Amino acid sequence: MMPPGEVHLEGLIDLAAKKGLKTLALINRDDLGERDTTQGAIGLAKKKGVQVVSADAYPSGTTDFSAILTKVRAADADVLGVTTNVFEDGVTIIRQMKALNVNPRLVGGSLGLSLPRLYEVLGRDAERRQPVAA
Amino acid sequence: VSHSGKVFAGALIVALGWAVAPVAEAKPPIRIGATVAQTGGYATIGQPFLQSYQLCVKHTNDKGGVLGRQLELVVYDDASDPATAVHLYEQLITRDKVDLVLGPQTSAISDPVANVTEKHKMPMVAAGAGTTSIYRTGRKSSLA
Repeated sequence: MMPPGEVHLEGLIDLAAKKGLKTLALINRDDLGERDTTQGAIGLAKKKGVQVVSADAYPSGTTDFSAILTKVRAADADVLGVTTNVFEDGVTIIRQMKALNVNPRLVGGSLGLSLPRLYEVLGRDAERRQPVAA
Repeated sequence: VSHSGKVFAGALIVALGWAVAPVAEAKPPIRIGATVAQTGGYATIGQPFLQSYQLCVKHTNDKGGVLGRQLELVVYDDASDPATAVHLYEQLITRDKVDLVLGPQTSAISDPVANVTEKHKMPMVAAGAGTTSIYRTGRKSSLA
């Protein structure tokens, strides 16, 4: 069974807080479940003393994430949480992060970033990604 | 058995107790309907859902089934599309005459499908819906 969407990033935020990481950027696909996860993450981050420096939603079908990722890079976030139910979006985002030199210390996400297949597709580029929800 | 597996099995038994009592003497299989995203945007996450559904059915049947009956899974591809899923759950309930349903993937699809299961008073184990708002609308047939 699936945990409530509002806590899908709780593990990522807990880990960030334990590691002393201070700032969090959030990206979500603009759909019902993903919106709730981002809203939940904002509340959880506040409780853990992690500052949310950006929170951006993208419409379904997006293939160019450069505008959002440039914003994440400018915010210099320690942690990036990506919420998408579309696996291919997660792969594209990580590939474009590399191309744009976006390097938060920790990246995590739900579903789209939590499948073992991510490592099969991305290889070493999948490292530093923390699957945090079923 | 993982915690999630135990929770799944528990939810299944609760749902079945609602759906199939009293048990028929001939003991036909209990038919469980579901849609899985096998194509479209959710196809990659749909695959492990399908495998987990099939695994739970196999494990349950290997242990003798539920209430002395084997489980039979009826699955369609909803193409990651809410409207298609709504149509298919209507079909599962009214044409295929399933005894209960497992949910589709994502809250965005599970939410409109929950209207169908609610209309037919068909229990749905919504294994792929995490959004709590789905369960706060007074619906009685959707089990998280």
